[in-house]
Amino acid sequence: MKSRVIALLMIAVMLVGMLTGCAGTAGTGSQTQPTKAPEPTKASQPTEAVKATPTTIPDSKTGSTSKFTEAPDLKALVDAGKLPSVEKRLPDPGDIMVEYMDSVGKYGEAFTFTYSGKNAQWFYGKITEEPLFRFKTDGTIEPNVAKGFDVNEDATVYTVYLRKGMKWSDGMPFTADDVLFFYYEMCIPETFGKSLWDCFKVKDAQGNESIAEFEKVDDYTFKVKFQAPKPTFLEELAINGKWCFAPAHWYKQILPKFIGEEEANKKAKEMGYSDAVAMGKETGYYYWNVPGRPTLRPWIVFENSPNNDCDGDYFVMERNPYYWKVDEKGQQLPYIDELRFIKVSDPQQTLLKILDGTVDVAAVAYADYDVLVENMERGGYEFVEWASVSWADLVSQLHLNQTVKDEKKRALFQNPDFRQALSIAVDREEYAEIISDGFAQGRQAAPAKGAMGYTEEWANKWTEYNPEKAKQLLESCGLVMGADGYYDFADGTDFVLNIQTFTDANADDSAELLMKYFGEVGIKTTYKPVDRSVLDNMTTSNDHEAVLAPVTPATTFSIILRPDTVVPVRNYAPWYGAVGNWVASNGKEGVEPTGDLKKLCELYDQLRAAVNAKEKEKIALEMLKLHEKNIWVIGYMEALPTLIVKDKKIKNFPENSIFCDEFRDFGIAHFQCLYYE
Amino acid sequence: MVLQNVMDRNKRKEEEYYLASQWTLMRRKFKKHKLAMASLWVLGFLYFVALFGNFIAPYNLVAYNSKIVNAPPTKIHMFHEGKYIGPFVYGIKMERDPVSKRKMYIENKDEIYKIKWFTHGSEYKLFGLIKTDIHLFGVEQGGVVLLMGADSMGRDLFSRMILGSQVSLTVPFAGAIISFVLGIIIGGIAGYFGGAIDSVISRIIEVLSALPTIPLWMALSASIPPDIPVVRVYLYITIIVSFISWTGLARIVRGKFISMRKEDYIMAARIAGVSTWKIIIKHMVPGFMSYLIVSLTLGIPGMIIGETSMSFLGLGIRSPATSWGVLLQEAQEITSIAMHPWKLIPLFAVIITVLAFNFIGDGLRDAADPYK
Amino acid sequence: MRDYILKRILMFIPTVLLMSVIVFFIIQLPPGDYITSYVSRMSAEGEVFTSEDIARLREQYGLDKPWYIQYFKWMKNIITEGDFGYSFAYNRPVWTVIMSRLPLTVTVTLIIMIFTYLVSLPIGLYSALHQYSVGDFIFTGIGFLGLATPNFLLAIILMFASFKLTGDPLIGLFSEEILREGLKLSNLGSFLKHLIIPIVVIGTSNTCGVIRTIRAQMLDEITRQYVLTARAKGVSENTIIYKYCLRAALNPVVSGLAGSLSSLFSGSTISAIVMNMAILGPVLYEALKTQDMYLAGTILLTQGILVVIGTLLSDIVLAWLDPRIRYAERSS
Repeated sequence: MKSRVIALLMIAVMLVGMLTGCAGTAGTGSQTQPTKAPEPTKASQPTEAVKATPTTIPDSKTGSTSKFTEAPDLKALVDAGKLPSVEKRLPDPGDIMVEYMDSVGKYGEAFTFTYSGKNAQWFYGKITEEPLFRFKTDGTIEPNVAKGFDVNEDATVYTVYLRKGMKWSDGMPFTADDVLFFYYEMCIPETFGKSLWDCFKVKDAQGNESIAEFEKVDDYTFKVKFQAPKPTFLEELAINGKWCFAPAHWYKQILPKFIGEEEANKKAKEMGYSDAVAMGKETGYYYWNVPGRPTLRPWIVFENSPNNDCDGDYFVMERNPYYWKVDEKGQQLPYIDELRFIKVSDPQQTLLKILDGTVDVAAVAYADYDVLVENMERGGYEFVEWASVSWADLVSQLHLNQTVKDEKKRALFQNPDFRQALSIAVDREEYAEIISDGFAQGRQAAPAKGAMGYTEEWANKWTEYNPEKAKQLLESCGLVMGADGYYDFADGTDFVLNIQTFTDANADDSAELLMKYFGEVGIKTTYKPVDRSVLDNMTTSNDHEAVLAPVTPATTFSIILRPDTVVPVRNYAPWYGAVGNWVASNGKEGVEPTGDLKKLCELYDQLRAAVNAKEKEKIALEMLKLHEKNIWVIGYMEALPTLIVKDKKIKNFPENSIFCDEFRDFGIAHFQCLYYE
Repeated sequence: MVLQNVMDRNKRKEEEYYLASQWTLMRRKFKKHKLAMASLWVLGFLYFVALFGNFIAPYNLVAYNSKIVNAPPTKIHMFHEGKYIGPFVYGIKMERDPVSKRKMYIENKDEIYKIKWFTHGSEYKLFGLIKTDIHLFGVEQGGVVLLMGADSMGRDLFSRMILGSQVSLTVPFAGAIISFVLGIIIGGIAGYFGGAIDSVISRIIEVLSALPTIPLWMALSASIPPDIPVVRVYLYITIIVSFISWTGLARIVRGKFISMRKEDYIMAARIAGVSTWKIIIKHMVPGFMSYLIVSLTLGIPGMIIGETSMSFLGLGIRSPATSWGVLLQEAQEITSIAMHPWKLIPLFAVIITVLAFNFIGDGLRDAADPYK
Repeated sequence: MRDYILKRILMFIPTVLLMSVIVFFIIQLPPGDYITSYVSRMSAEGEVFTSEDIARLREQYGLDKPWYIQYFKWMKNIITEGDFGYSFAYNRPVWTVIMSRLPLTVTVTLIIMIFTYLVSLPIGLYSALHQYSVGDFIFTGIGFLGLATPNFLLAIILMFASFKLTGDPLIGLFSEEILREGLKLSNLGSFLKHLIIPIVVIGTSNTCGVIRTIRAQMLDEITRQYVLTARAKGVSENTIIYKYCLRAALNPVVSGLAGSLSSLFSGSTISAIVMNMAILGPVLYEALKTQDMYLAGTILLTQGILVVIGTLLSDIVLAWLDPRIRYAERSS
């Protein structure tokens, strides 16, 4: 039952994910119409972001726009004269964003989480994020900070409308100036240490790359112009760029360009950073950590708050009084007063804090399922499962480097028969039972059920347990059984399969089992977990061989929008190794692909050049078919859903969703809509 | 007449006593210390089991079994439906509670597996030399006998504990002995000669004791190629690190030497022309022998505990190679403590071993005491 | 005596310098550097790094230069400006990071140390004087148990036991109240409650060593000639024990104090991690793991300096305790 809902979600995500790419160019899209949102799903309805029609807040009683209400502590401040009234803090009534949710909530209480310090900055970053456009659970994007947009016929000019009267968390107005400032004064000069994101770049038919041009139309409207069609600009922005604005008034006081190097360095030291460059990075990119830096997020870190040290033992984010969203009854969001983070140094401590009921929302492991169930009553929590988009469970993904340096091994790895041998040498039933404690089934590495490209054949390809056949296949690859019971190369040299992974991957059990199975069919295997950074180094320099549970496993949220893990785009996933360099450097570095791998790269070029949703879908399916044929990535077990525990009393938490980076992990739950009953 | 015999006998005993060598005296006195003797037997038993480990353990280190993941210890029954049939176990069935989805193992009373002695099992090499496949006990195919339950990969914990003791009881020895010897020699030289030599050595000791062992372990682990067996890797690292950990003992030995070297009898020996070496070994060292013995016997269990700490940090031995440290690390989880408490049994093995070493040290110290 | 101390202080500087070089070298010994671990952690969360981004980061932190240049720069800053550098992980001056944790570290470690000696001295004494009595066995048995159990396992077992019995696992030194409001007299009780498990875990493993040492030493001393003489002369038993024997028996304990001083600074790392104690030990461990050079280097350097100071102090105390050394120094 549950899996069917998830499957439907998947289908929706995959299909619609590409349809948005054709906004304005085919079918219904036209000059002035924004993207038509499909049938709303349970989680949230789209805002009526139409060009000139004001947004109305429905009021069942009077039928007119209702009054706005705010949280009691904010009301107290207003009464004491310390804060402007709620009407003054919210944007113009016509432009306020309304969040629709299952049940309208009430103010109060706090969420408590555990975290590991500033290392976890993305954890609390993602759940409070407010991008220009955000993803819905069906995979389409909707306006968020932006009110709506228009796009011209060939997707070269986007007009984005902002919300009148919207303010930063310090009360200053949020205008198109802030967007342009971010782009021209921060992105392009790279003041926060990141090179300009791909979403702002476009390649024309000749392969020349150019960057976007931002133009202000008025205080609340701006245009983004490209030299070549970029139909998926907004989706890419939602994935890579996320937010596209910064408080210009605040930055003008600290950036070297405006106050000079010396002043900037002095300011940096005051704030506790080593120099202006570090300050630029921390305040520009990881800005939600900086106390006092204005944001648009529902909870922020105030300058004069006692617990605002993001690396402290106790970290608190408090309600943003200028938050620009309300619920359908006109109550200013968020409901929850503050987010509290308790520092822990060991995952077992998080588990204990879940058991004793302190922690409100956390992702847990199936391995701890039994003890969590035992204490459900006492801890007052319940389980929620969100689907994963991984092709196979992380610890069961084996990436054979198709460009491994050793010539003989390279020929072997590139031979599909060898991969088949490795695949059928493993008893998946036993493997899955042990590794997942019976929660997951054995499977091949393939897209999740309901996702694009999924076929039952693919999911079951090469999954039978047949060590005899494996041996025959190995011999057909030219391997010869040696005296020690292990296969050697035809010329007599030893063949050793070296499996690598990183130490935090928890892949030791998986590796042990695989080593046993591989040993039984005559493949000598070694296993070495190394520090994650070491593994990254190895991958970068193409020194890796067979990576188990890689940092970048094969997953496809949308192969069109984010193909890095299954298509060679740059040096990223271990299985395509140096082909990634080859593509990224346009053939100057890396290893040139051959055969089907080359075809995959060619198809990807075609995909990027395609302007039509249907065309994109066709090419994408072809690419996936290549994967099905070759099984470049071997997987042994299906990806388990993400198991979440949440306090029973929390309302509006989505029962079904997908846990992925595009949805900002927990972010898709829209924490500003959650409340305690 | 009788009295004469008794007196003779007593005199002979006294003569024996006076003529007996230092070591005989020590041995006799040691035997009087009950706790130490008991510990000696206990350790002897543990080492004996370790020696014959592969034979005594019914399963080996890679006997993964998906059907008994985290299974509790199997109960050994003697009576089936009132009739006595000798020791046996029932079959095990795994079920999941339909509502809570919790895993439960229940005995399948339809299947009976008798425990047999000297059964055939997995192959191994006894003492690393003789190939055989006979194990002390076992059950027929299809049944499992888990004296201490199974771990998260379905392996028999009892077997792993026995086989793990082979590593845990031997490798720490090497490290402890190296540290011990180095500590005495270097500390002795520093304390005896004093002056510049002492200064230099003391400074070296200070520098070494400030060194962080963690990055050293990390760097060493990272640089050793993966095809060397894990246990040997661990041995190498232990030896290397023990070259740094002798500093504690050295400092104390030095302190003792400093206070002793001005003793009259040492000066007398020097005047008499006894070589420095002999002075140190034959005259000074026995003076604080008791402390040395205490230190050594505390050193070995210290290394055993150290091994468990290294496993905790993920830097020591790794599965499928097993040591007690590895087993304890697997118990280091709330789920294990709460739901599979049998995984804590290796903890008791560690405690008993450490206690045994300590009591023996006690006994030795008392035995070496010349004044009692 | 004065010359001795002077000489030792002069030796201080080359020792510390040598220490700093070796320590720095070892820290950066494992492959990779801070940037590699940082990039991989952030990438795992979805952040994108191009190779230019990474190169720029390296340059920014000065990690693109060989280690001896980094070391030289670090040393120069320490000597000329007292600037210990910046912690990459905390993005803050190293000294700020250390200082924020130091008071707590010292407090907790001192409490545990006091507890250790308070408990083990009497027990050791009692055991020595009533050898083989029931009391002897019981107390030394408990002491041994504390040593025999690996701390990290004991810690997590106790935390779980606390949870099962009271519903509060007593993680960390501070309850949520204290974290929010700061340590006040009203919530001091909670702080003390949270100290129970650390004291039991860390304290018990240290008591054993001290008990054994005191016991062994006292047993040695009591049977010496001068004790017999003193007794014959009619000196009271108490004076014999406390004034004469105990003083000599404290010899190795005092030698061991040098080590205690440095452990005072960093606290016991593994137990601290398991129990989530916000002291310097876990900070050092993280810094070593991620190769946060200056933070790890500074903590270790300070530890090393404390060891040197501790050695000096204990040598002085040793000389004071044992007059033989004093005279020896004078005559030699």
